[in-house]
Amino acid sequence: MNKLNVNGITSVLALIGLIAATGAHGAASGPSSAAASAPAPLTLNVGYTKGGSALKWFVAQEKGFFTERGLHVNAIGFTGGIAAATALKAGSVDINLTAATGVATALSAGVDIKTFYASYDESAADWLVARKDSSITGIQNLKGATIGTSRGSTAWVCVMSMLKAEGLVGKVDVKDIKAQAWVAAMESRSLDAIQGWPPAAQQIVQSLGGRKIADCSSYARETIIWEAPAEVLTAKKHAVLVWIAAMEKAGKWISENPSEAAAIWSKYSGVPAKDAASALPYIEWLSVKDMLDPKHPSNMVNPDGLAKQYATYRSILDEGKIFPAALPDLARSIDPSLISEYQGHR
Amino acid sequence: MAAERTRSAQMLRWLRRGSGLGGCLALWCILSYGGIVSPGFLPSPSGIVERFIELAENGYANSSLWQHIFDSVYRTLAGFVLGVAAGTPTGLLLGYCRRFDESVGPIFSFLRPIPPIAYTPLFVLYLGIGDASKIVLIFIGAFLYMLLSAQAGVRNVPEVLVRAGRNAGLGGAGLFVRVIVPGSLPGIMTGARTALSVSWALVVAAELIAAQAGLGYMVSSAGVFFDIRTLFVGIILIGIVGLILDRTILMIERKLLHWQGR
Amino acid sequence: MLMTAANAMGGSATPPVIDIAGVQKRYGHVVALADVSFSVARSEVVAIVGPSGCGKSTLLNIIAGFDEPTDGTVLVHGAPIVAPGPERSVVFQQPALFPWLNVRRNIVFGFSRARAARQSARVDEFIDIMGLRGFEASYPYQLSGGMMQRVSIARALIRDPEVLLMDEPFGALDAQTRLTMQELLHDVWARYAPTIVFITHDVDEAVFVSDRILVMSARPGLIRDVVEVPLKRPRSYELIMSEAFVDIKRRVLAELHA
Ligand SMILES: Nc1ncnc2c1ncn2[C@@H]1O[C@H](COP(=O)(O)OP(=O)(O)OP(=O)(O)O)[C@@H](O)[C@H]1O
Ligand SMILES: [Mg+2]
Repeated sequence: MNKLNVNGITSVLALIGLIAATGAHGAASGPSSAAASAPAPLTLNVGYTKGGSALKWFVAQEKGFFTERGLHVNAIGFTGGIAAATALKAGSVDINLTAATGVATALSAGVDIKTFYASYDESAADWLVARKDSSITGIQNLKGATIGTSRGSTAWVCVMSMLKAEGLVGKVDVKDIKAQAWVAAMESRSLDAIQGWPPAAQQIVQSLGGRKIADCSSYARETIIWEAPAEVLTAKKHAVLVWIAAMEKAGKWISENPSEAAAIWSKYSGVPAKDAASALPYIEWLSVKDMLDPKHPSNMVNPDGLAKQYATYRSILDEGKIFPAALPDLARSIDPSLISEYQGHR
Repeated sequence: MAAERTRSAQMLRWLRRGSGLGGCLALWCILSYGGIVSPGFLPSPSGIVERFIELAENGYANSSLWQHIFDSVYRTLAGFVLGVAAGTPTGLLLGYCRRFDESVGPIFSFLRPIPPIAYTPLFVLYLGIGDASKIVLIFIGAFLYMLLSAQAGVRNVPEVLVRAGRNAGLGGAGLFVRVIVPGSLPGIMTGARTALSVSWALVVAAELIAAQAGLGYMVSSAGVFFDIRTLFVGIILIGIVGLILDRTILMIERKLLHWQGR
Repeated sequence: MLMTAANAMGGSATPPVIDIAGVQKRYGHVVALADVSFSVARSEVVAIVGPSGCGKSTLLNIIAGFDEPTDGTVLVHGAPIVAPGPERSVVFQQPALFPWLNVRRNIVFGFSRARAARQSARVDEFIDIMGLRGFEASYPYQLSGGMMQRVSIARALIRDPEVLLMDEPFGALDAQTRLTMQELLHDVWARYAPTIVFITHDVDEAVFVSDRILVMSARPGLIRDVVEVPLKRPRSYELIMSEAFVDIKRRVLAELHA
């Protein structure tokens, strides 16, 4: 970091005016070349959505898996998509945690975005939870109910797929409720049920006595992925590879230390540790091996994996008119080159 | 001759008024049509007009554009009117009656610095996701604002007018109704004007969490999905409606306070 | 000593309308009034002159019932003052018009609707006398300072008060209007015979309108002297040149300069 500044300042002093900008540009591309020759400080600006389930990422930071590899990460928490998409576009974020919806947002914002790492599958942990005193006992008597979820999110895509699959389209009122208001909306009896992701869904069950009606695994798989603009993956390739190594270690660590992992999750998300712990068993932490396994439903190498998921998302998002224009093919963003390279190096 | 002069003076005034806005518009055109800024960051004026027509025809997020506008205006006016109706008399009493101020004043002193937005999740919990939670939120904002301005309005009634009132044999309720209330009206109206713009700003924020329609909802939702053109349409509509609301209350103020001779 | 002298001078068989004894008024460290005593008989016109800040307005406010003395007693008709009221009508030093009411409504302020209707002819009369014809529907912001003061005077007079408390009422008026007003005051007095306390800076005015002049001194506010004005009523303006008038005026000025 210091070295960058020195480079920048030298350039400014040497070539005043416009040329200074070129100097700054040169400095920005410095780390990859520097990293290739000698061990120099590596940096990544990492975006994630607060209140989500970025556990691997939390653990890798908490346990120092990045620093032990000489990688410095700047964590940038977002609450909404525009901030993340804008930050990616402006180059202030290098990589960002998201799902197919985020890829759709970035693509429609004109960013040449790549899906380079699939972090975990949370479809079994994304639950439809009914209020404890509601008459809903299962999907069969969902007709006439009011369900809340964050419109355009993975959970919303799951609800829409469910309604479609169960022939309930138009028979259930789906309200747009942001995650911050899920508990409040349920407690105020404005809703019969919430479709929510972990660990909030588990919290509603545990703390409010809600009843789990269904999960998403049989309707729409939800693989949470990491995205990055194409140019970042070339310019900061080394840093990203180091980052992948740390994330892989974190995934393993979570399955070996579930209770400590739940405590870390609780610390970063604000959700009580017992609720976080109850969500853990439903999440499948993916490894690079899974991502490259042609038989795995989240694989990044053939049309039956992530690509299939992305196609489903694309059609549901388009039907719901979430974006102002029809979406491009989301699957074209899937880029397994870095994970393949990582696997090859091992 | 004189008529001609005033007419040209008026035209000049309109020109001046238009020049600021026109300049901004021109700059915007240069930036967007000149290709200096990409449409992903700043859509062109025609792009926004196009999107506006689309939204007017097809609506946004399962509601028509008019529904979004109507919902926001309805919530704002409902909260504002209730806030004025409750806040003005309370503020007048606080300013007029020392014992009332001593007993309940501290409650409001405590509540005043709390931004109403902080209550949002609570109101969803108590009042659900319907209009009530937003209206109450705006009500609180308008109420506290009116309270303050009415109280200050009472303090600004010249002492000599109070004395003149008492000298005419008025006291208690009579003095309150015939001297304090009309004397506080300028303060109340200035407060109401600010309270209305505060209410309009609050509705946008109140619609962020659990609304199903409204301009605030439209803007935040468009923001989540990087729908920049809708975002701009929403922002421009918020500005226009806000301006209309402000002009309306200004007109009412001028009518009510004609005796100020301004 | 002063009190008894004042009593004797205002004295007749009837009890005084205003009776002030040993009145003090302090605002923190400032002693606005230090031991003031005098009384005013029914239908007497008492003028108060004195330098700025000597406590004239303070005294008037106490009689009007707006302020309470720190010490001493103020009796009106033998009873202590409870509150201000229309029977002690005040013309304030600054025009005190209600800006949201037009001239006519300002004049009848405090009247019931029925009383305002009954007095409508008199209101017109006052509007004429005060030279406000054509401005009945105007609002205070449309009037000059002098016009506003004339409205205030009309408002005070139309109530037929037993006691008129006037604090430099003609200070803001031009010489000509002031003359008219002074003569009007005589008219009013001739017709209704109110008891008047009249504050002024203008010694000529004090001599012209009053039966007795209280000369005050400042810091502390005291009544330095009482000058009788034994001039016959009705008075007209030629009086100003008369020997008797000038003589009284000289005495007052001498006291003020002392
Ligand atoms: N409310 C008040 N608080 C503090 N001091 C006051 C107050 N009212 C009057 N005073 C003081 O009392 C003194 C007398 O004031 P007052 O207004 O009675 O003077 P005045 O004789 O009417 O003067 P002027 O001829 O200038 O009107 C002054 O020194 C003034 O500063
Ligand atoms: Mg005075």
